[in-house]
Amino acid sequence: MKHKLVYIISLTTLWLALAVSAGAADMVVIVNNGNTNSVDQGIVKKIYTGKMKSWSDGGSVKALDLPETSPVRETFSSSVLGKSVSNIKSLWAQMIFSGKATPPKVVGSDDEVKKIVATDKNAIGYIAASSLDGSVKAVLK
Amino acid sequence: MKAKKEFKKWFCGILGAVLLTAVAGLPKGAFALDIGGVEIHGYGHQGFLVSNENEYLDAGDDGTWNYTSMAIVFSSKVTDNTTIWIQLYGADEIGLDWTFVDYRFNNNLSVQLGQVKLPMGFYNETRDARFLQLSTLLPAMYRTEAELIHEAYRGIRAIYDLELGGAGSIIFEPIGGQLLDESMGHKQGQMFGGRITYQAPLEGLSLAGASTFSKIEKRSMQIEMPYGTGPGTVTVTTPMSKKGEMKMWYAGVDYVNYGLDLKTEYVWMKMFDETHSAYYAQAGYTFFDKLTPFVRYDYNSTDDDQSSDPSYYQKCASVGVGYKINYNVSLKAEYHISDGYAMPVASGEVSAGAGEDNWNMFVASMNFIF
Repeated sequence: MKHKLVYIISLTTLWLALAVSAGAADMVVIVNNGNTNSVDQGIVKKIYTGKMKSWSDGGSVKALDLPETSPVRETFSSSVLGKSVSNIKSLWAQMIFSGKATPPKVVGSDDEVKKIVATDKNAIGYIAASSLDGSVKAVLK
Repeated sequence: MKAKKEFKKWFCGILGAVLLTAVAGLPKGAFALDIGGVEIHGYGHQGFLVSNENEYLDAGDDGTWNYTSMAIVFSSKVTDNTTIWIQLYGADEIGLDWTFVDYRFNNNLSVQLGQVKLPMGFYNETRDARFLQLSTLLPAMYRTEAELIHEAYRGIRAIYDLELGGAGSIIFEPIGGQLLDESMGHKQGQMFGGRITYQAPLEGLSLAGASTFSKIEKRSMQIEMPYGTGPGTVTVTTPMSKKGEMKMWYAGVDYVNYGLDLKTEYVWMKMFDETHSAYYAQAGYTFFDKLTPFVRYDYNSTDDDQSSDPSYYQKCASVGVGYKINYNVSLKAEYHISDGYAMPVASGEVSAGAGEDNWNMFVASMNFIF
């Protein structure tokens, strides 16, 4: 009876762990291949919380977001920005309604993000790791 | 007056239609409308209020639905460094809430010129966007009738963000211009001041201090006179001219992280020889990114020399809960238990000496942003 209970608990734990890891999508932060600015997590965080609007070479940052419902955005928000999507949205709303900054442009898919980043030297975005190809440069995984 | 009401009705109708169209037209998960390079955002609320004793904000014991406001914010980047901002706002009065040109020199320094929201306290610049606040009824210091923190001014604001490496950052916001005075009988002169905010290395912790100094001319005076033989008074307005100064000091601490939302703020104002003050402490916690109960204690005095008279002070304990239906819509319900009725007197709905000392209010609202 005792062994059965341990077996059930172990299976449930394993199932939960798999479910959580299946929900968390691997993602990469990408920039244009011609972007030579150094980009680390601190810089990405500043860009996506409205504190940094220009690259170090002077170009105006064009940040891109995936839709709120995207699991890749959830992963990006929690692992890179350290906050939930809801908290980040509230932060941007405060900046909008006090006239301080406008939020990153929301685009519909990884392909759209790649397309914009590949053609705009100042663009930055994030996509699922599985969508990465040579058209863009990965700067943070 | 009738024409103004008609205009308000039309304005709110048009604003509502634009907002509904905007929200309905949003692609799934998008945050704003972008039309020809102009980004459009907005917010609003519809509230219901009921008061068991003193009439306040149009609410008596029958309750009122007349607690509505809506706003649309337009922003357009005209160059990489220059953005034009406009906010239209409709509530009791309708019109241009703020509009300014923002020029960014670099990541740390920008300047705003135009009609700008007053950087005073943690709420002031977003106080009308109830979706972003813990409560529908804001702390007394932020309410227009308290005449403490002005909403906006015309002039200039610089924003300088000084990075301190591992020690956080300090944001300096010096301002200069002329306050927009919502109250009757005052003419505002030149104003200067500013806000300093320290963002501590402990994420979510901010400490702020602010101050404004302005010249002011009082052009009329309100005198309260006994009304018949009863306990009430009647207010009579007489013209006058008196020049003086208005000084305001503010301090606040804010911690928002891990679902916690803790705030305490204090403001003190001296206008001519009269002093006003207010403070509050508030705590909320968000469960599952959706449900946020909160508690608050709020004190406000509209005349510190008469702060033992319940007509001039109000102590209020509040408890409430907010629920986010999704990223754009929320519901809130709250209960406010007050001792003193300074706010109903300040709003002109109750005469000094004629109110009930102990009274309660229930407030519910639906709020949205996009």
